[in-house]
Amino acid sequence: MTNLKTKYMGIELDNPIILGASNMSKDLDKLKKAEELGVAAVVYKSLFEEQIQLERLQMDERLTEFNDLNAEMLTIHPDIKYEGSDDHLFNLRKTKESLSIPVIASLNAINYDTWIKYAKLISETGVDGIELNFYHSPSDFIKDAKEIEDDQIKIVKAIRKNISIPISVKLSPDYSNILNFIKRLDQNGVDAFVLFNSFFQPDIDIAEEKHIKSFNFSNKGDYKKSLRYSGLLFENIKADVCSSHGIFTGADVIKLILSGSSSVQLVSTLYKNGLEQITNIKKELVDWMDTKSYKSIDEFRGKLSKNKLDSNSLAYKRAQYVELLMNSEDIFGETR
Amino acid sequence: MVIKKVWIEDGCTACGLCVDICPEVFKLDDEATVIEGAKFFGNEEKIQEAAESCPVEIIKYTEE
Repeated sequence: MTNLKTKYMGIELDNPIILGASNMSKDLDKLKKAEELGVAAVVYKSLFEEQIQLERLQMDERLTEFNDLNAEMLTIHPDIKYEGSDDHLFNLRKTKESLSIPVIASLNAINYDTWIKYAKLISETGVDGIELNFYHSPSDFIKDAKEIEDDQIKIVKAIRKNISIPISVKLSPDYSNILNFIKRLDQNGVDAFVLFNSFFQPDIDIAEEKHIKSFNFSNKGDYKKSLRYSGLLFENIKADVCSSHGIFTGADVIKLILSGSSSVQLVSTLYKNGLEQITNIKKELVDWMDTKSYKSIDEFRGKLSKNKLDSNSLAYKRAQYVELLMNSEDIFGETR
Repeated sequence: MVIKKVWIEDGCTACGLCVDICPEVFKLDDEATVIEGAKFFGNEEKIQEAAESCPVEIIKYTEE
């Protein structure tokens, strides 16, 4: 019998497949279906700082809504719809009570006070762990890299001090030296790293000459940056590494485990192929393990990480790129 | 932009993204469908966003 058990944030999972935070992961029917199809854990849709601020704005609206009441008003009801953090925390608790697999919350805040307050409130809902989504997209020219990293370390330290459930940090790959930053976070009590988050990127409609928005899906092959860093981190940090972004098939999952990841988060492939893709990916993983006579994930996890390779291997080095350029004609054929 | 007609072709994965973006026009049963009698006027940008965002690119619309 093939054993797919693994660990994420120190939590034992039945297999490495996690449904990542998305609009899909706030729908209890979909989460129940994902559980039936064999997903090992779910990350509930993120609570955003903007939701919390909107709630504060709504409170102000309510406190002042009758101040200007007069006979000519069309309605006495405030016109902003309610969907704030209270609802989110309520749904999080309900989701945890409704599923038997681990439920992980996700927090995407901006202000220090919000991070701490809501990490505590989330931990009180009974969830199994919390994912801190460090979605920092530079938009000014003033703040330097050290200041940004120090701020984020400070947030992690304070949250670690205030809650007892496991903490993961979902990161962007855009740090000057992400290995150093991960090492620092690791030393401050982070239980897992999710590599990497997907940023919303603006696009432009050239006919209308205006910005357009659409949901940002990852594409096949986007997992390679995560593969590189899980290969570099394996056995160099205490925390687990969970790969995310552009993981579409069982083969992708196998590659990421070979590089050192203990689990993966799926989103885009489930949007594009339906939740049934969970079953397909698990089957592909089991079939491959059977072919290779692996009985458990631990038998091959990290087998192709940097630490396990011959020191002359170029796989994780700049030299691999240089070799590719120098020998491009041998590899790709002569160009005309 | 004035949207005249909206329809969904075969291949829906029932992800529900179109309903999240534009619940005024789309609903989800086993698959996403266009709500009968839904008003497109005033929802043009959301319909466009839903079509752009559909992971299997099956939401179609025609403009006048």
